[in-house]
Amino acid sequence: MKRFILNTFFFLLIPLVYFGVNFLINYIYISKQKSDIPEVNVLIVGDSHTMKSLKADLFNSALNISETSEPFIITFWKLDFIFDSFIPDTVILGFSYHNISKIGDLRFSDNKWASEMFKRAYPFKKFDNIKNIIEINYNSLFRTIWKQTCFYPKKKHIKFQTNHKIIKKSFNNDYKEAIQRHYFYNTTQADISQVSIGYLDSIINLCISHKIVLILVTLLFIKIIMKKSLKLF
Amino acid sequence: MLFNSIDFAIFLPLVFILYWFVTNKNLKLQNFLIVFASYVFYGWWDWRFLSLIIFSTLVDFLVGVGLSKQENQKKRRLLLFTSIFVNLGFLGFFKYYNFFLDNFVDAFTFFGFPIKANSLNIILPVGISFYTFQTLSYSIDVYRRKLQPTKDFIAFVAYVSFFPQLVAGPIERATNLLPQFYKKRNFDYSKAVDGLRLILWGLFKKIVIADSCAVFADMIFNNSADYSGSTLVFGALFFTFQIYGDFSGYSDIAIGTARLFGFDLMRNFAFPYFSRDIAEFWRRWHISLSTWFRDYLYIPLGGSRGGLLMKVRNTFIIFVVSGFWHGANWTFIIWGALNAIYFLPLLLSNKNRNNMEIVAKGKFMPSFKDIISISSTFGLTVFAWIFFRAKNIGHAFSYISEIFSSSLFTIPKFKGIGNPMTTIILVIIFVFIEWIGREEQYAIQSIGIKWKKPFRYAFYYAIIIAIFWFGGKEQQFIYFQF
Repeated sequence: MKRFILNTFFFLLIPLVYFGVNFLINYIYISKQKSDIPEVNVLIVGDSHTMKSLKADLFNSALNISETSEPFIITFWKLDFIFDSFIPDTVILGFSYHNISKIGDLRFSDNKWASEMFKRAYPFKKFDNIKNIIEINYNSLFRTIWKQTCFYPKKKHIKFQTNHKIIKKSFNNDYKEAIQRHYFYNTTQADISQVSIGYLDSIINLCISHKIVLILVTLLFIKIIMKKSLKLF
Repeated sequence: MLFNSIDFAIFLPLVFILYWFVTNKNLKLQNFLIVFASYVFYGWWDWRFLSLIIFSTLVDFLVGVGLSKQENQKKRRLLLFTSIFVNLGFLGFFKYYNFFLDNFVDAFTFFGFPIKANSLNIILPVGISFYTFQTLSYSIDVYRRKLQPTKDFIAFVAYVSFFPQLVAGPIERATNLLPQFYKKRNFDYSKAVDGLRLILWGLFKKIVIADSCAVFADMIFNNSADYSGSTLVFGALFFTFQIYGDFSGYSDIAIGTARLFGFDLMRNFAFPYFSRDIAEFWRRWHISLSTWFRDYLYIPLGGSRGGLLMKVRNTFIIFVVSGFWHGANWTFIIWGALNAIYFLPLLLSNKNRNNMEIVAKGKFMPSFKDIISISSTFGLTVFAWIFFRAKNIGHAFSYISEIFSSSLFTIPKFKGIGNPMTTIILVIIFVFIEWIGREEQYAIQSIGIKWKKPFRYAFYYAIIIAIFWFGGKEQQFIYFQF
């Protein structure tokens, strides 16, 4: 019996040590990590709307680091992280009605979205700041941290998406689906998110404190969606 | 409590230590610990379900005691019917009540007599189909005088509720499992190691294979109208491996866990997808259920004795009932009937026992004939699984009709799901390992025995890393719903 328990213990010890060492190495990498995006004058941030409709090449020295379904919380964390490395002149932030819908808050608890959000945001290590104001899917968070840090040493944990494709298709036919996707959780209409409004405020303050010009833009919306969206508020 | 959960990862070592270090000197105490642990394990889902299993256990224990004292055949039969009535009554109410009600309403409406009936919001207790069959087998065996009724109540409760196999089998016979509770269990190192190996392989099947396939199978089946015939074929294939990995994985973990406690459970799967005909498939798939139906339904009905009509009737009954056992839906009945249609030609031509040994025994490669036989049996099985997985009959037929359309010859696209390549590679590796180990009780048994330690450990660690990499979602096992 003792032999069985000892052998099992030592058998399991090896992967435990392996995972533990990887975690430590990655933890050190994350702590020392700095933004490696090129210094630019204009930084474009936001969700898929800015990602798919604003071409960085149109500006002089600009970079579009928008990502799909990005809530203002993550945008704020990203900007805060980048500003430690360099300060751009201008930040263009996608801002539409749906950005202050509670759908954004649900991204951290919804099974479908949570792991993707945590995958993007775990290196910022700021979930403690929001745990009291937003429901966090801890199972998904720990699983993401576990997968990103315990399996192998990874030098680069923060990757900003910069290769975006501009879309040209019309959304006229899909407007109902688009409204459903942006404002409804299953069949329930999402409320206005005070958290998103608060973080928008934080982004504004962050830009003011660094003397950055902040431009809010509404993009990729057809008239009918604008009208219908407005009615929801 | 799920086998693939953190809860179980804490629960199992705790019970193991208490079992071998605290209660090991007293058999009754050890059995009592099993009962307590099993009730905690089962009550983890919903403690209210415990009342059912306790009632069922009490009835069957008392029926057994009654049968031991009773020589009058009429009274013995009455006792047996009490057990059957209670067990099947529970099953019928919790599992089939709404199904029968809805179908009666539909039938009356069809004939122009619309009636209104309120269906009940019934929660199906986890594993009810499994433990009711297990307790029934006890009463029937005692009635047939194949088994001495037990006077040890704790041992009987432990037999009914034994947590490794309580919720999804293998459906144990009292003749095999109950006597194991009477004897003192001594710790056997090699048996325990074998148990751990089985648990590891079972977790791999469930977490790495079944759950990976489930992502694609669920998406394709749930949105089948959006996909081409070629993609739907992949959907059916993914489900084929999902259900095998899920259910056989559960059985492996159950058998492995039981071994850690010194028990031997019956084998439930024996590489069914390498079968050369449907008869062989049914000897290798869910063996504990197939043999249960054979012994308690097929043989009492006359089996394959009698005339042609009798054979056909009995075959259809056993397959349709087996299908219906899986759930209150016409899809399961069609699935069962379809398997009966596959099976009948073999039975009627006396070829149903042609392939008793595992394919290509002692060889690495199968013969060309074997490849054709395995492929055609596998194809028939995949086709039948479409009915098993579909939401309803209409869904199954629309799924199949899309497969047999011109879109079958288009390149499969997995819109909105992601790239299936990793899952396909995993399934290929899995099938390869199963093929290599097909002559053993389970695929990696020989790897554990024959390989040198460094290779063996490297293999185990690769499995562990794969489990951790793909795991974490704690997906429910498919057969819990049955």
